[in-house]
Amino acid sequence: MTPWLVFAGVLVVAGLCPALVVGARDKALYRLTGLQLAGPVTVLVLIAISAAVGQSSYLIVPLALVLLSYAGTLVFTRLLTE
Amino acid sequence: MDAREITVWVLLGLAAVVVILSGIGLLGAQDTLPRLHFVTPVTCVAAPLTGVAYTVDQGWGIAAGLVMLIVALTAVTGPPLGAAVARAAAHEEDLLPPGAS
Repeated sequence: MTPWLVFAGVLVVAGLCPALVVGARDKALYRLTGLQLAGPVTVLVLIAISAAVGQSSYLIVPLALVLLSYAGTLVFTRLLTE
Repeated sequence: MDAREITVWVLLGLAAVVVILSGIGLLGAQDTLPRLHFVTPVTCVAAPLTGVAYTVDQGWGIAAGLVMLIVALTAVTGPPLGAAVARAAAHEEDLLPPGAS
């Protein structure tokens, strides 16, 4: 088992799960912090999977995600303050 | 196991510890503003550590450069997002001074 697979598994359990729990309860702005954590953790998981399988072409997915999650979270903050 | 593999394990372990502590802190915090403090270490510490680990593991090249670009974007976009969410939370809780939009 490569260190990247272990890293991806740890991040899914200890990073994505808390983000999903926080993102599924309380008020909208509370949930937004869960979404904010889920974005970079997912980016790191995708990088780790790309390294584990040795396919550098997969890196286009986290590159797109980091840009889209930035714009998406900003849109959510804008909508929630109106 | 050579020095390169040990370095990768150590860097990824440090990044994983940062993510674990951030996740625990996020679950324990009770309000929006304290929660934001637990997102920043993931973007500004864990992501660069992962990028360095990738470069050490795979060697310098186009893929490593792309990973460094991704983690740089993650680190750069994290603080503005935190500020935007904090401003929205302050707006909702009427913490902004009069006249601030």
